[in-house]
Amino acid sequence: MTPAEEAAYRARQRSRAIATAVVLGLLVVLFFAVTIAKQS
Amino acid sequence: MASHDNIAVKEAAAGYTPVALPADWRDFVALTKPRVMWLAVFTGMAGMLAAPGHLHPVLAFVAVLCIALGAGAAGALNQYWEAGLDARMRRTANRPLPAGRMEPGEALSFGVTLGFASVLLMGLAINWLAAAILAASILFYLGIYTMWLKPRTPQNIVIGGAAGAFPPLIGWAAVTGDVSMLPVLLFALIFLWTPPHFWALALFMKTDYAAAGIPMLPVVSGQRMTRIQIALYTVPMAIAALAPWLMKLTGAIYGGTALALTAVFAVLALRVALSRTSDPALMKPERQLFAFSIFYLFALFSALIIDRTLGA
Repeated sequence: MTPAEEAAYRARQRSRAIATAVVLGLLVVLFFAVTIAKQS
Repeated sequence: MASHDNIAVKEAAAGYTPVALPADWRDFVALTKPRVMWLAVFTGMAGMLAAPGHLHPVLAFVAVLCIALGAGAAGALNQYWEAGLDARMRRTANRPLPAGRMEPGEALSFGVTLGFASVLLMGLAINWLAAAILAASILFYLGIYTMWLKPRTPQNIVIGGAAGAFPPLIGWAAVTGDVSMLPVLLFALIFLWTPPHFWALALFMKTDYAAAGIPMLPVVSGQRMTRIQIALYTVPMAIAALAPWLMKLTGAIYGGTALALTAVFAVLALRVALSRTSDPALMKPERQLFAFSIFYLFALFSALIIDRTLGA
């Protein structure tokens, strides 16, 4: 793997990790909101 | 281009294999067919808003989200199954799988996870009837349409159209917990709208479908028969569009809109039926019918929402 390829690889991994973190964070908020809504 | 080829030749000679990058998150979004998803979301929302009763706004959002995720799962699994076909059609060759930007296993696990998550969330947060219909719609689209009908019969989109007709039923069931006559009529409307909509597209995309070996009606039975079938299917579609008004399930806003839009649809379908051209470049009526059919469904369901909201 050349340095340029490794940089591109790491950048792609980073963007996927951020996207996964955002989705998981939104799921936490969603489950919290659903719990509150079901109780009201 | 030539310099790239030279580099590739030198790399191959040196025994060097370029590293495949992991799929980008945008490729996962593309895998869900976002444009198709919007139609499912909109008709599902229309089913929810037309239903009698009330759903907490958060739960309503979750129900719509589940419909979107379910449609996305069906789209992803469809693309996984049809990667080979997609590679042979210009319109679909740049999708993540045929373009080589994603591994098939990634698409499969993404689609399965999305499908299970959408059904489970719908069941836990809303109700299990809506979840069951959502699961049925995903399985119908994948098993009945994609795997079984599409590669085998020109009736593929006639029966397969049912897969896209489920969202209003899901939306209605999410609010009421049951299914009654109006959502069934909305299901029938989308079901009967699908053949003229897709056959208009298939007429001017015939060469693409033929190249991929998909037995669409124009490929198998010819353009003349397809044009006649478009006109014939417009009749029951018109009845299904007007039925909610004729059965007094909706008011004059929906009735008037349905009458006017269905008349335009019928005129466009008739023009397609009477056309004789076989040159895709000259198929203006076919393109007009295809474009109008999308507007038709959006406008009709918008009128339904307004009608039911004002009439409530």
